[in-house]
Amino acid sequence: MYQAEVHRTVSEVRLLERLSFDLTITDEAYQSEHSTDGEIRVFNRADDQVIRDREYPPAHPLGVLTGGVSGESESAYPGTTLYVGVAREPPLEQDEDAFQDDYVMKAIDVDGIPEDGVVGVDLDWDAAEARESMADDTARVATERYDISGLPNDQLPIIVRAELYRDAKRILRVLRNEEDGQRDDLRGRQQYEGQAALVLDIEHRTESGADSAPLRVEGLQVGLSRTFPQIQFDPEHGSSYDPQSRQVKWGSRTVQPGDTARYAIIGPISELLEVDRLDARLQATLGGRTLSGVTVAELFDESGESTQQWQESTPTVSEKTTITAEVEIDPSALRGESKEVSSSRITMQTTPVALFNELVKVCDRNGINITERSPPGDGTPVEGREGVYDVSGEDAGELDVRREYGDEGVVYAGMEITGRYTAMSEEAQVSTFDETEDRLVRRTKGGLDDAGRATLDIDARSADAELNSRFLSTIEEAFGGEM
Amino acid sequence: MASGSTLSCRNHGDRGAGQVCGECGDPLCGDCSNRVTDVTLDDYGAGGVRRLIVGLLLIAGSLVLLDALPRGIWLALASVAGKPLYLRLGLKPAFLLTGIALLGTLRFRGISGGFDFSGFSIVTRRNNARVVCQSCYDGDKRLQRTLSRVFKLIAVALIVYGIYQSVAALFFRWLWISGVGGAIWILREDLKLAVIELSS
Ligand SMILES: [Zn+2]
Ligand SMILES: [Zn+2]
Repeated sequence: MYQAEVHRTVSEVRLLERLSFDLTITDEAYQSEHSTDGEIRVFNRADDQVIRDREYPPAHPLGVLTGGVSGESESAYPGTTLYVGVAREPPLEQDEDAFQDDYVMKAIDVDGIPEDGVVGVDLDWDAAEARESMADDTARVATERYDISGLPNDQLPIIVRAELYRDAKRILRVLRNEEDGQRDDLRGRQQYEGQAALVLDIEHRTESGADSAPLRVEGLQVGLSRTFPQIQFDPEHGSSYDPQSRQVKWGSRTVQPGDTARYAIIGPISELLEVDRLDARLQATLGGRTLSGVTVAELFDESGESTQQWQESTPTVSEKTTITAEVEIDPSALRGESKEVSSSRITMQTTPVALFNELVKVCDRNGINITERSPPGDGTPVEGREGVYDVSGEDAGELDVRREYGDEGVVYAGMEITGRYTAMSEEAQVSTFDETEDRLVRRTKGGLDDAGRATLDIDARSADAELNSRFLSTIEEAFGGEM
Repeated sequence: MASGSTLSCRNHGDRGAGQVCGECGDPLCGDCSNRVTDVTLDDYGAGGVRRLIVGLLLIAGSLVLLDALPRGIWLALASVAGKPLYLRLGLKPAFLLTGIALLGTLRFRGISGGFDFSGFSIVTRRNNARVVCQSCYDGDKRLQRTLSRVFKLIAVALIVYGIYQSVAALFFRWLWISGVGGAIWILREDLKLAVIELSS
């Protein structure tokens, strides 16, 4: 029986596919991308014989006499090529429709290895390398890479989702994984009152095929751009938070097919929204399974015989998929429900500063929370018109507000105030609006014709347009319907 | 393997492949695989010392031992046959040739040009069969197959001819031809290798 070197040296063959998943949710972009690739890894170790065969190759007496030890043609000696037989199975079985089945098989392209054939892996050593391997007692890994393309989104083994919840009832249900309509737990709700939860879901998609291995989440690491004292994490068990580096880590866990690993960062909404950036990195593995359906069918030596004919113990063979998910989130982009955007513009005969102050009062009166404010600046002198100042660009006044409408939702609005004013009118105006009484304000309005001109631009965002217009009309009515 | 998948035969898609072509890697079913003794798949084994001893004994027999035997033996054989057989004259070259041939199949290790004999050993070169597909069988391996056949044929022909001549004419000097045949038989894979080396 042929004694190839690979019989002795190869200990393990691993088929490894990698899925890198990128999810970016910021105000500018919602991007979900993935890339895939694979490789065959052959673990092999040198032994004494390997070194001996390199340092003292067998020589023919005539060859020695004529001055060379390497005189013989040794194409397959000492037998360093391993043929890795790879086969492909369709990763998804759709037994209803043959055409669909074809489609699925063709959808994923594997480039670099055959669909049904062998990959020849050269496992030759040089003597020095072999000595090193033996001295370190480490296996050398030979790698054959291949590309996987066209893996459809709906065949990814995981789905990554990020959501922001604000309602205590919802938060409790989401964290407890309860269905809607279950008995309300008032006491449980208490702890989430006034809180928001940023939830990261890693769902292990159920396959239609039979043997779905569990997903092993090795860990999740989340870095926050800022922290705050009230921050909490769920699940608390298995998490560790370092406020210094603003990093929270969750340990390993197993997710059965169809189940979801859920992680949450909890805190007051205003604090959570202040976090500009959250970077999450998840690492997980799927044992015994590849994305492309490529499997190692059998191993062969250079004589063409399979490991089953080898006298030495056969190498172990395994298949594995590793998943890395990188999620970048700007939590404010998840306020989200803000899919509907409505705008309104109000122009008044007043100064920008006066309008700003008035607006602050309107908000206070109507239960609108101001999350961020910056009053209009002094403006820049307008050329050719003495004493007139233009307030725009950097000088524009800004208000970010939030108005909650109970169970109906939340409206987020950004308001910008621009305009012009004369130096004289400014002083008068400030005192006018300092009066808290509505009556006074309305009365003085008429007399401000030459004081200036201010424009208020409002962008309201919420889950539905009706809520937006309700919000906008609140503001508009407060200014007497003047537009 | 882990998932129980198998390769399918390159020619018969519905059949599993138990082996691959050692030359080009095509998966093959039992019907599609051919086996060729391929000199480029030779490996080395133990038993070199034993072969060396046998070879040296044959050479010694040719040069010394046959002469040292009591003359009475040859005379007795000649008297049985009724004429001189010249058996010794035939055996001497036959022994010498097969002995040299046996030594010719040996290989040495641990000779690295100097006088360092650590790790020195005598090994035998062993032939192995390689599974090949039909096209490699007909293509790449054709020369090897032809050479194998030719050398075997020559060897057998010479051995038979030598014995036939000797027995027919009771003139055993012809045994040297059988010796040549034996040597070719023993060295046939090495001769094949030499031809391939020279032709490439
Ligand atoms: Zn072939
Ligand atoms: Zn076949």
